[in-house]
Amino acid sequence: MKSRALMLLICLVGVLSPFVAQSIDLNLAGTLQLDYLFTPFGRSDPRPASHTLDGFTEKLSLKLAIDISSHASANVKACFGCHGFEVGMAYVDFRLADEFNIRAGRFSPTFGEFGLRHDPGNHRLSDKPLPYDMGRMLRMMEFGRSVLPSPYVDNGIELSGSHFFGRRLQLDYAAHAVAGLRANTDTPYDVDFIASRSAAPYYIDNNSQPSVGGRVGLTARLADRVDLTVGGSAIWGAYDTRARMTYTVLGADLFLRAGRTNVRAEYLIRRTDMYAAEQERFEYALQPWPTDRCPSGSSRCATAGTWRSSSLCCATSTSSCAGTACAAAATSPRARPSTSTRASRAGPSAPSTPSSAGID
Amino acid sequence: MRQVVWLVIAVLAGCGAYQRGEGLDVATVPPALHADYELFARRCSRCHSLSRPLNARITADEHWAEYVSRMRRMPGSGISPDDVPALLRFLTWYSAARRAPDGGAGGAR
Ligand code: HEC
Repeated sequence: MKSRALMLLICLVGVLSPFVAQSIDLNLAGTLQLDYLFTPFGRSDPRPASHTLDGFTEKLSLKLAIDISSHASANVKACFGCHGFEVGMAYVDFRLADEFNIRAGRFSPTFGEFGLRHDPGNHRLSDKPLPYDMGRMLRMMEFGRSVLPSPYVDNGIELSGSHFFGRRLQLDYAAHAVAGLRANTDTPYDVDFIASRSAAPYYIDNNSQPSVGGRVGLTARLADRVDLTVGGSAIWGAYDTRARMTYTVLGADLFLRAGRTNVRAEYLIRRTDMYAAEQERFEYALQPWPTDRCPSGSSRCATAGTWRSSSLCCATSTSSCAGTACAAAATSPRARPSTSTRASRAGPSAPSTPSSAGID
Repeated sequence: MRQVVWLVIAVLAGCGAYQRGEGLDVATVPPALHADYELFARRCSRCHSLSRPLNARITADEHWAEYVSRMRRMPGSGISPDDVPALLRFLTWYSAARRAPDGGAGGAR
């Protein structure tokens, strides 16, 4: 009942706000960034094309911000970059108070400190911090991508707000439910960031299970020219087509400003379930899923030294551990963790837990 | 050799990008608005350079009011509701001065 009343209220605000508006304010803003990525390889070490981007890259964005009334606004942003044309923003904000804003549409879910400033017009270095880098890392194919490539744009809804306690303390929160990161297979071994941002097949979720997350931040004016912000963020969701493999991204951010000096630091970590039955995909040995992580009533049937698909299973009964019976258990929807393992941090190509810190 | 050429270009480009600061030449701001300008320069340079608001083609006062509250509501903006009147005083003066025939407030960087 309550939720119906809330929905009705939201719709009313949305429908009535254009009539309440005195005038509609439009602002068109845009940025263009042209980079030349130069990788100094010698003739003895010719660079493979997959190693890194090399040469000119370009990013253009055009944004239309519309204030429909003091309680409603809309933003549309089109970007042209390495992935071709993309919709970076297409959302509407309904604001009941500073403490309660509802955003619906396609937007960047609030995460960390950098996300807000991802537009090249807002950061002074040509590159993004490493945890947010998108495709510009050396050996980008071998190390896995960054923790959460920015801009992370998704479809969904976000509640957010900000409250000042006096003039010195500001508390922000944001909580969202969005389609989530994707891999267009049910046997993925990492999030596919290209599939996650691609429009095809339409901008729809691949597994009907929303990803949830948010951020809480506290900003304090410590002195006249000294500000400090600390924040914590999290995102959780399933990314494969059958919603069995999950990812969790956690972040902590700090911003300190003293006079004209800005120090920004962020730490991000992502834990990703991987379909590890095909050991050949991995360069390093995988640790089997720990026995205590198997569903109750099942057991791990790994045999030391053999890391083939059947040996990684948590079968629903011990008898199904042998041969193909185990593989059958692995594909049953209820036996989700049976195919999941944690990749050992033995080497750089084990991308289950990328984590990194960035300072700019 | 190719590396050296690129290195020289990179260093020169880096030097070109170096600026001695940003914002307005304070001497062009009326003394009564110095404190307001200081607040603007501090609060509006946290997430982007000051050239973003200074070069924005925003002229109407109500539009600035919408803009400042939009920025104020961003997470970690550090702009409290109490700061708004001073910020708007400066921005109103600035956009009027810019529209003046002599170009008004100069030196925006
Ligand atoms: C918390 C961070 C933050 C602060 C503080 C901030 N801005 Fe912004 N501002 C942004 C972001 C983010 C954008 C660009 C949005 C985008 O396109 O990605 C922006 C863009 C703008 C633009 C360009 C138009 C547009 O919509 O892109 C203007 C003008 C502007 N800000 C004015 C101001 C003024 C005036 C202040 C101080 C009162 C201020 N900003 C303080 C984050 C901030």
